[in-house]
Amino acid sequence: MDSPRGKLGQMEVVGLVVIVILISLGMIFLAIFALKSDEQKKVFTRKELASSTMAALLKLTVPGQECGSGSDVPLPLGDKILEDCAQHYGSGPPNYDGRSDFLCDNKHSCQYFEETASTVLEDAVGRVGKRYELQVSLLRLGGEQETIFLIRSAAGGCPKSFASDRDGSGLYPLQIRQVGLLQSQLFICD
Amino acid sequence: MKKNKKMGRDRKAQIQMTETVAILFIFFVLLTFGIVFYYQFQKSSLQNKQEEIFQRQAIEKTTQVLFLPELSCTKGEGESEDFCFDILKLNQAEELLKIDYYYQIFGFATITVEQVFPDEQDFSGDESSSPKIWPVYDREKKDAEGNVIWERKEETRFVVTLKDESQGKAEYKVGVVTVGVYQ
Repeated sequence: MDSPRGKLGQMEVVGLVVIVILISLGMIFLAIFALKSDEQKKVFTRKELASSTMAALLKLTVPGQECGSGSDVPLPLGDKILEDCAQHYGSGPPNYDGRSDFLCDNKHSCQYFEETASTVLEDAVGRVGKRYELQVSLLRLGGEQETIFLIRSAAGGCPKSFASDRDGSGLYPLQIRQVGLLQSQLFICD
Repeated sequence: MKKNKKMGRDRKAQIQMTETVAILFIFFVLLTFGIVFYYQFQKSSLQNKQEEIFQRQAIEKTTQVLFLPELSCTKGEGESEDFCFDILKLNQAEELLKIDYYYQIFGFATITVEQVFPDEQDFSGDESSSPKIWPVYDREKKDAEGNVIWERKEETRFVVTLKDESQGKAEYKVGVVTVGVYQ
């Protein structure tokens, strides 16, 4: 049987526990609100950076003479070169067989795109300490989908486990005659 | 006997008095703790608010730069291209943006554009050529004597397309625009 003093002691302990819980909750809310404003800026920056980088990469032109086009008209990387790559992309390894229409620096269009995109992304995004992942996939007319490129930063890509810390550029589709649809997306994460 | 009873009551009263004083002491300690905590919380909220306003300003200025007609590319019909700067415009931007009208827009800030791809050495073969950097706008926060008075500089970087029509045909390159805002 509990004595009145024992009961009083128990009540005091319960009171103390309640106070500790309340203070802990207050501190958690404080930390959440303190971090929130910074996060808004980070999300905005990542989204805009992903969109602007993707637009710049696809708009980038390469000198026509470098690709044996027989003209000095600059060729858009995200249009002519990527289209040529998709049209001459094999269904299994080796995927680059040196038979693309354009041979920029004597390389298959796919190899040239991959190398150029890697350099651009590392120079523009990688050097400011951000991680990135460029996914280019081909949706063939038959319905099957395959990933053509998966370019990741030296520090690692942006896997789905980074969901709260990564933002994407959105899908950039490109219709390829007699082949299907090419979809590109860039993810940037901290 | 009566004396002993009185002494016992006095002792009890003393104990109760000590208890009351102790409770009051704890109460005031808790009250002080609460006031300090509330003050710190308010201070931190105010700092957060200031930080939020500053970061919003940085974002707004960056957005204004990205869509500034004085820098952006056009296709001739007046329609501007997203995230694209015209190199011919960039060459003249530093002089143009010195006027006070732009100070009202950007305030104390620095804006630079750097070409990151292609590395011009790749095509010119001139290894001594430095990276192409255009200082577009530069107003550092200084006092009347010219001493730097800013506490913090917030930099935001975006990747942009650089359109070069100096050779008579449109070539697109990749650049990085850096907008630094002073507090």
